Amino acid sequence: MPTSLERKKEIAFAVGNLIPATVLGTGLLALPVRFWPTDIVVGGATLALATASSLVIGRPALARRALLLGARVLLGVGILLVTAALLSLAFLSGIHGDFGRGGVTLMLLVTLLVLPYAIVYPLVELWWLAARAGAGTPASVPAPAASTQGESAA
Amino acid sequence: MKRLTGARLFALFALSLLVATLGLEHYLRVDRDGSVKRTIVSTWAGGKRRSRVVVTKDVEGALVRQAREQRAMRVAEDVVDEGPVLSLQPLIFGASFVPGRDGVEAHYDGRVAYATVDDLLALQAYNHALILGPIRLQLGVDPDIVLDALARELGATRDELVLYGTFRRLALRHRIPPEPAPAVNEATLRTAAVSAGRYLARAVRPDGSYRYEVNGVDNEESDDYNWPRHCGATWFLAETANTTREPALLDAVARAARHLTGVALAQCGAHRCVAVGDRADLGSSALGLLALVELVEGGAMPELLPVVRELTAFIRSQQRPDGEFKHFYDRQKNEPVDQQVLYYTGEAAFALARAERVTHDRGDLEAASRALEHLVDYPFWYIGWHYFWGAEHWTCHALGALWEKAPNPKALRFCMEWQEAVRTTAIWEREANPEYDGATSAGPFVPPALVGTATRMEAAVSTLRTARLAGLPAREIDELEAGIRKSLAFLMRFQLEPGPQNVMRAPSVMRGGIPNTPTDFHVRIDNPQHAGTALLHYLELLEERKK
Repeated sequence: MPTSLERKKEIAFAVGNLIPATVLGTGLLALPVRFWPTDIVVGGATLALATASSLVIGRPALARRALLLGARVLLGVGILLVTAALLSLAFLSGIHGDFGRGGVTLMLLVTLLVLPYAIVYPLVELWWLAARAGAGTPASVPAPAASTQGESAA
Repeated sequence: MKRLTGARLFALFALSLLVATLGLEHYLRVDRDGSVKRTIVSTWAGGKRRSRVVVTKDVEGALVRQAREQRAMRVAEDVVDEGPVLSLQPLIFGASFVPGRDGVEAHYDGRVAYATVDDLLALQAYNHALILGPIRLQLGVDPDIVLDALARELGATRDELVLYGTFRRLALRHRIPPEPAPAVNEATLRTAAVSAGRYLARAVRPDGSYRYEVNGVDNEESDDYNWPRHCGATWFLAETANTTREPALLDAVARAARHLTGVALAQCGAHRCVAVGDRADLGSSALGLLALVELVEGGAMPELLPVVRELTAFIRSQQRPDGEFKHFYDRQKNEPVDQQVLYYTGEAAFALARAERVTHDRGDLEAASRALEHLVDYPFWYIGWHYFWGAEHWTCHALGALWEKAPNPKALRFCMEWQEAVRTTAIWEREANPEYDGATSAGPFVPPALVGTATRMEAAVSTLRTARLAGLPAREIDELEAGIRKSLAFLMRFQLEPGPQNVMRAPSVMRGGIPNTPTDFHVRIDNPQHAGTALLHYLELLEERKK
């Protein structure tokens, strides 16, 4: 059973996962144009993140597995976003050449806004979970020693 | 072990993505400084292409005879490089070309056709927006227009061309560059400002209304009309007429002013206002007042002074105790409407400050001062505050107009900071379009709107004048002036003086006009107004400095 501090961290991650879930969900609802691949990916990710966070808060026994699911989903979405953004930028850079100072500032701003939440945060979460999983699983449990006392008692 | 595998997979993915990104960029890139591969020579008359050849030598001799026979202009466009077109999917195809720089080559059934920069300008294929519901995505070219034009040229249907054709992107360069950016000096500023005024004078119809928006390519007019813009254009026309005293300008501005007072002056409760419907807007009255003040002060129409007094009374009656204005007036209910939009408060403040010069009414000055105080009293958390981030240039005009009689140092700081933001967010060093340096950006991949730059430069010139009067540090003033000179050079570079005449049906009519963008030759009356004001006021500053 996690200690009280560990439990607090689990809940912090659950709440942390709810923030991108809210952003993705709001974005999906705000999009005026429907494109089914986007709807499925973003809708699915929103649902998965919200469910996982609810499980972390409501079912402590499932917290670690739910967090793992949430982190993986978030990382997946982040990788998709970054891949699409980088390939789009490569395309536009190939067509237009250097964007100039204003363009670079804009791109930098977008990168700084997206990368920490889409890639860095889920990686930290996965690292934290992996560290706990490693500590929670005994590396090698020694066999219990024979008790002479027990034998004599029998 | 599992963690290590995950990390390796992630690293491998990141590496693959990096390679794919660099590869794609390299694959698509063109060298705009490259040597000439071949030259597309065309003849143009009446805005239409008449003949075309593609040559690799004797460019100067190509189509000379045809040009003479057709009484046409001969234009040579050099192909300096070419690149692939990844897809005909509208979003990708549309974004695959740099407006004003790239053309398209299409091969079909052993034949080849070109849509050069001039062709695309004539077709109005640049500045295309892909509309997805309420989302407006600005692309390089309009795929429909380009594909239809190329199909016609190749004698095929569009479907045939899309199915069996192949496409290349051409990096093009006019052999004779259109017009270089002129040096910013008194002579060029005067030419550009007066030319903008003459454009507007030609646009005034006999009844005093303007040809509101004209498409420079086909000389067609839009059906729209806008009274605040009628008034604003008349203000600049009055300023130019007062400066030059040219009869044609004086006559045109008198017609425009008479149209304003004859058609648009109405009753707003106890006051007279500028309105043509049940709802009067403050902007029309403010800009109308500005125009009439200029005509009274310059001596062209002194008989308009009573109307000036009536309009100042209306504007002042709309002011709230905190300095803000109620921007509308309901003429049915006879009551002001306390709603605000961009510009009107700044326009009212500026107009009242200018009106005081002829009304000599201290109340006008005080009302203008209170409005300015309100405009620059922005909250600490002002990231979404529209009076700072929008194009609200009138505030800095009001600052300048009030400085000698009611200086407001806070407003000066506001305008200096706003101008710093304008310079920082302007276009600088865009590889495909170095000639856009100093323009206010409309996005990193689209041509800038000239009117956006012009409004900010009007405000910049007013700020510069005030900063000098206030004795701000030389470094700050120099930075501001350097930005102004760069931006004014951009405006003059793209003023239709005469512009790409070959693609225009009536270039003489458009002369002096300020187009929407470097690749969209629609001229709305407020384009020359804003740009001309910036040019004229900076000229006046330079002339004052010499005295």
